[in-house]
Amino acid sequence: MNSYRLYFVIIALIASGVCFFASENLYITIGVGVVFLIYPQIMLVKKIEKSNSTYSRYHECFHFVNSFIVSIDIRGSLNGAFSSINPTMSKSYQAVYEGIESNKSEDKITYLQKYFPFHYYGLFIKIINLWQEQGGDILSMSSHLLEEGRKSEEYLRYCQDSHLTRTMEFVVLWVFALVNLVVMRVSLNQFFTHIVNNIVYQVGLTAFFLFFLISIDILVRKVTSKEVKGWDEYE
Amino acid sequence: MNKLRRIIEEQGLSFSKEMFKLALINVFFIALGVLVFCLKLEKYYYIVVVVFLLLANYFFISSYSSRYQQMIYQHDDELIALFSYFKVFISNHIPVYSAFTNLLAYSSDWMKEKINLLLKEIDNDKTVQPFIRFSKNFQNLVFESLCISLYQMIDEGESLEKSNEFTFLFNEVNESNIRRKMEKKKRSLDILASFPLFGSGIITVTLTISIVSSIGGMINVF
Repeated sequence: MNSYRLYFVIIALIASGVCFFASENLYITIGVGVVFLIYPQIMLVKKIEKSNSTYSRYHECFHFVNSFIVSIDIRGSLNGAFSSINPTMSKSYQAVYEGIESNKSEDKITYLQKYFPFHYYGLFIKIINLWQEQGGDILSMSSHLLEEGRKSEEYLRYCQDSHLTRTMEFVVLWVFALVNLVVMRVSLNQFFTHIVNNIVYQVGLTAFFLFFLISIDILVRKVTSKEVKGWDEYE
Repeated sequence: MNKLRRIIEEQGLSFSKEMFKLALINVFFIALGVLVFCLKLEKYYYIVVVVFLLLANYFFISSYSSRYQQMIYQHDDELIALFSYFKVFISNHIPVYSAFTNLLAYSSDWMKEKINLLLKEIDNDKTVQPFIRFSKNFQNLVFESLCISLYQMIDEGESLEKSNEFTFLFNEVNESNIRRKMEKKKRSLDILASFPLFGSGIITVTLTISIVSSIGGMINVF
């Protein structure tokens, strides 16, 4: 089981535990537990995994383009650039590269667009084609491209840092909200038996956990929103 | 109503279908009201149903405006991204017309339609008007200056001076757009902190109502 699935299972267990403690109602607890267990596994985990892999694939693309251009400037050829940067790339890239190793360098670059399906890589291919047709200084030809890539990379890193910070804040605040519920339940003590079967209390408690789930869904939507042009093709 | 129809149709939706959805939502709440009447529940349930009916109508109708605004920002964002690619092309001495043609591969269907229209108009009209008309599709007024700069590049030759002018203008727009996007991202994430507070509020209100109604019941017994 991957880590995100495990986190959501833990959240489901905590929500069910707190729900049972606060309601002493098995039906509500089972309902909350089942919804918290099933909904994130079906709807949220895939979204998060896809978003994370898209982010890391874009970072890899940026690293590849930058390193490739610098390597061409040093080595003077596409083959030389490939042999220079391949050891620095990820295992998944190397697995793809193994399949196309015997192809011509120009074909390899074109084929890798399937691996890096971003507009940034498409522009890189155009620059390489221009360089091969016209010659010239590859660094000057690609200066604007590298600048745009750098800006996108900086923006993505800003987004990732913000997502992590806000997620931690979100988790801490919800932990406090759940602790608040537990403390209120403990404080009510004997009086709790008078209100536990009250329909308003049961509906309110259900609404609280429903809102908890909705807020988790909104958090996941916000942190997995598409940030960079051109990765629609990655879907 | 005409304004709402225009906003809905500009998003590619059918006005009659959307109004049908709104009617279904209203029918649902009216059916709830009838259910409350048949079950002979207390009168305040009618107030709850009416409040939810009004809220549902408000959120449904206002969602079109917010989606429309978002669509406008997306178009502006897309053009800025495309101009950044355009800058890469023209810095490598690709002619302006060819650079625009190359942009089609990176454009959404809406943008492709606008660019194709621009290219068609450029073929027939050698004045600045096609570029001005193209810039009117977007909200940001700086795009008009950028488009005029592009026209000058075509009309007066793609000199280094004109290219630098375009690059300078575009860099200003790009920097402010990135700052705007970062601010927007920050604001969008800030709202997440309010959810746990709202959740605690739900629990507090629930407990208050439950406790007060229990105490009320106890007092009645005495």
